[in-house]
Amino acid sequence: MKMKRNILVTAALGVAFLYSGLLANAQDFAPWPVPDEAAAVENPVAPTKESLQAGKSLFDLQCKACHGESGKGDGLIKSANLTTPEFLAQTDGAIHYKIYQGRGVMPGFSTLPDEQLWDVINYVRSLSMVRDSADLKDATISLYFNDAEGQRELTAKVEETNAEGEVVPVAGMKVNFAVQTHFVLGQLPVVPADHYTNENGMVTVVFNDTLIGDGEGMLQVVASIQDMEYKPAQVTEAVGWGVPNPQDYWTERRALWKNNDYVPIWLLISFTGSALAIWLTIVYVALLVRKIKLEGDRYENDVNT
Amino acid sequence: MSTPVTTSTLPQAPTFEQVREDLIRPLHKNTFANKLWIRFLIVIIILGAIAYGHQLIKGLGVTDMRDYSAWGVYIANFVFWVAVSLIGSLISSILKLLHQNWSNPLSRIAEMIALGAITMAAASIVIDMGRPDRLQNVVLHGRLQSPILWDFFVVNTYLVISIILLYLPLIPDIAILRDRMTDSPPWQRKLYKALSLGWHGTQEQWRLLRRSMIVMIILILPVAFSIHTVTSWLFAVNSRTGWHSTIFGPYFIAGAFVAGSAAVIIAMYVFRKRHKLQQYITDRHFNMMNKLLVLTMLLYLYFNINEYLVPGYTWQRLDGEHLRELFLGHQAPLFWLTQILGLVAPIVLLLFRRMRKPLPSLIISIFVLLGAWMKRMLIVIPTQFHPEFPIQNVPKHFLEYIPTYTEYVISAATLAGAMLIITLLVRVFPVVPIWEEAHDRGINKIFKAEKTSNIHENEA
Amino acid sequence: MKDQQHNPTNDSRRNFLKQSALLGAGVVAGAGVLASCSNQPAGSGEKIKLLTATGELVEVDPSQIKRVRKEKLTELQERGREGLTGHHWTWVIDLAKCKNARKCMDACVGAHELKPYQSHINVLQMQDSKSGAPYYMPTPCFHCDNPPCTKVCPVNATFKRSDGIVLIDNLRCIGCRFCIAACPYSARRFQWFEPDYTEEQKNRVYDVELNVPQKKGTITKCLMSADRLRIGKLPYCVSACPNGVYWFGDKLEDTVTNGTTHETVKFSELIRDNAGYTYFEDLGTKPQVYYLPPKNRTSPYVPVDKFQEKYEEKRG
Repeated sequence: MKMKRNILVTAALGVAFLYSGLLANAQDFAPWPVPDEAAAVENPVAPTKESLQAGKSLFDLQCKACHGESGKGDGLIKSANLTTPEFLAQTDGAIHYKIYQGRGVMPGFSTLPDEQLWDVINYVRSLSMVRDSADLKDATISLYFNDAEGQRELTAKVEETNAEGEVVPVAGMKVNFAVQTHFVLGQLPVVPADHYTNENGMVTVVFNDTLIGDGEGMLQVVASIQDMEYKPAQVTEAVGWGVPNPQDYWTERRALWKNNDYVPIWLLISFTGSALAIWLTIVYVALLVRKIKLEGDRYENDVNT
Repeated sequence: MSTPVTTSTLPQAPTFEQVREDLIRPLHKNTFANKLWIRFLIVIIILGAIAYGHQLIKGLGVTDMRDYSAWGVYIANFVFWVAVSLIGSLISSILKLLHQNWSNPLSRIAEMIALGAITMAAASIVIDMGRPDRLQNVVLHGRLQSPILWDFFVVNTYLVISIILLYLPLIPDIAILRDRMTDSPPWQRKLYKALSLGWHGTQEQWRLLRRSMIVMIILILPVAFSIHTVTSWLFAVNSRTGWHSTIFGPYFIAGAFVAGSAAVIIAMYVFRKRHKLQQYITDRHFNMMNKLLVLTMLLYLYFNINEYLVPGYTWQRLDGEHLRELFLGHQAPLFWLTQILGLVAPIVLLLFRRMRKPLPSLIISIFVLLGAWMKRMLIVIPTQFHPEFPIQNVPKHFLEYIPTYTEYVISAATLAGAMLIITLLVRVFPVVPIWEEAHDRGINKIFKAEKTSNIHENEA
Repeated sequence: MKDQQHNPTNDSRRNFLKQSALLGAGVVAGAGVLASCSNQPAGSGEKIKLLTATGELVEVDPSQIKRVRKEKLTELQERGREGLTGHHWTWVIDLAKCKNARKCMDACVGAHELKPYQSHINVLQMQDSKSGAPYYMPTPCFHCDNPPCTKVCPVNATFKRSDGIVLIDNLRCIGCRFCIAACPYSARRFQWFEPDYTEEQKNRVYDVELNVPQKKGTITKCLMSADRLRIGKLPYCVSACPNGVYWFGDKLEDTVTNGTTHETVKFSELIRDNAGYTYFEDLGTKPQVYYLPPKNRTSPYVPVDKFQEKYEEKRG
């Protein structure tokens, strides 16, 4: 009897839990109707790897902040979950309409090129298909520098271990080249366009920017890969291709706003000068007054003798 | 010194003894009224101490000062007290150097007021500090580049100089008291003996005294000017409307002489009445002091006109907001009341001889002094409500400043403190310099202890 | 934003009860903790009982313990006053993106334990002229290169350090409020009453780069989250903005990073391409916070109450 009741309670709790879980995932924003003509527009951009990469770039820039890295609506501001079946059930055209118009806190991105919006839509759809970390493949990236004939080149090589245990190159992998700043999250891209590895798993870019490094002009160059099917990976190597950091901000100049070690000379002299003059005069007067006393004592002695 | 001042108010040429007795007599009086007065002052000071304790425990928030009125009544008090304290330099120094001997009887009153005022200025600043337990940081970690450090230095220096300048001319008088007041309580006799420094009026002693007095009289001038100029710089070095003016130094000094002169006139009246000193603080003295007051007020009026006309003409954004508030807006009633009742009306009234008599000038001086305090409130507070950036996202009451009871009680306590210092000084020392008075009347006699028969000539 | 950290005691052979009392009471500033490795020798056989942050009692081999050294006050003061020499921190605020979300103000208030109206960064509604366009403008302290505030401080409690940040030492401040009078940008606040949490945190070592807890009778101001900069993180407000308003970086490196998107660009290019400027240059204060004008706004301006209920507080 007791066991039956326990099972019932557990089942009831389980159902309640599942239901609440569903509720948590359900859209708790007001419904957003889309006109039929807009919903009927078809997505002209195929969900290729390039499209997804471009979409991811834009997503990271404009959407990730609120919708979260995974698109689940758990970013800095509570927003819609873009991975739910209800969301995905919409047509691409409907999603395009919403991104274009915006509503309330969600901005409207009408100023962006249309193609970018379609790329983002492709990427967003792919978010719900994100695999578990364990399903992603491992790739390694290494970075080389070549400085010949006045031309500086960065070369990245991406490799993975295949099923047979051999190390093989990874082709068509997008590689980001950046320089690490003081901030962990701050990596300054050094080459603007997108770069993909060739069939040998290598990609070379020309480095001709004037970037400021540390005191000796050393730069921390970071090459990283980001792909739907691979775990993120990066490598950091130092190279002396930067302009030496001028380090000329803090000077030893005297200033009114600094501390006593940097008092302007004119102030130091006039203040201590006048302070000394005044107080030495006071001391002089005090000595005179003391003499009055001495004179008084002398007089009293004279009178008494 | 110079030729003696003849006076026609005494029926016959007074003797030294008469002058001496007239000026010492008040010191014998420890009347009930006197005792009551001192106790009354002490009660106010105790109330102030309680209010200050409340402030220490709860924080400066017990005042109505907030982020946009960070300087309030206490700073206005500070400026006011520093202003009043300058009177010591005006009368003891400037007028003496200009050979205005009519002012000689008033110099001790002036110095006593100066001493009381500068002490209360220092107290007001400590009261205003958020962390008075860290006062030593000003000495240990003081930055030479900060106007507050300069102010700290000059205020303390001026305090010392005021004490010295009160004390030096007092020495011969203390000697007289030492010799005459043999029936006073032992502590008082000990005090006189110690402070008289064995003064017996010898030639050498007079020479030393005169030299030290001349040195101090000259020294106090740059220090006095510095103290109020540096105080004005506390405001003028900030880029704020109403403060960032090049004439703040002279403006404040002119205002200081106004406030100080009014304070002296009030003291003159009180002591003349209470101590029956009509022969010594005469109608002529009131006449001259009031003329001096009018002169300083005209100078102050001139600076006022400059201070308001120049920004008023250009009407820059923040200047315009600030002036509108003063002339027409929130502060207008207070502003016009202060300017008219505290400055313009007194000037006009005091141009008439009848108004320069003791009683009318007492009333006028009270208004002038009140107006002076109010004016300092108007200088310190309205400016802070007109910063460059708009005031937003704060509680609404941050937009106004209405002083709380705590601030008023503590301010009253500083007033009581100043008056207590003066009262105690007057209780122990003659309020009119005896030797100087006799000397100015042409009574050529050295004042020495009667137990000796040697009489030396007084230096003329 | 208060970090609670598990703080193992130095002597691992103490009584467990004593340990747990110490551990329970410690609230260590997350940013101020240095990890110094001095591992105990392995294989000593004895296990140490420790209380985890979740309240579990575990037994751990001594060799697995990494000693965490709690800074001494003098160390914190020295490095706080010296600064991260070699950097020149700068800030670019994009007015076209500010939508008055006020997450920055919330983050600041949380990190420094302030009252809601004391946020060191204040989002103002501005309109430069009658026909001009209104916009939202977050105003932190500008950390000027010719700071009027540090000039007037009588005790060197507020100071500009070698990396440009103007800090306030609440153990030195005497509460004279001259710096409030001197600052033309209304960047400073004063603790008129006893701040919250003073009693609970009275044993906390004072870190001049974080200034927590606040102290009665002293000044409080924007510190450019110096404690975060020290560990390579962006300031609290910069990281909390959801709209991409803040760029923060190093002028000497000529890079700034966006707090929302973490995009990093060259500071000089950002200013040049977007007509960046500073406020009231003619005051001669040389502010180090730049603004990008509110052109091509990402959303329309919607005015709100300038004295909202949440900032209200009873008088006295």
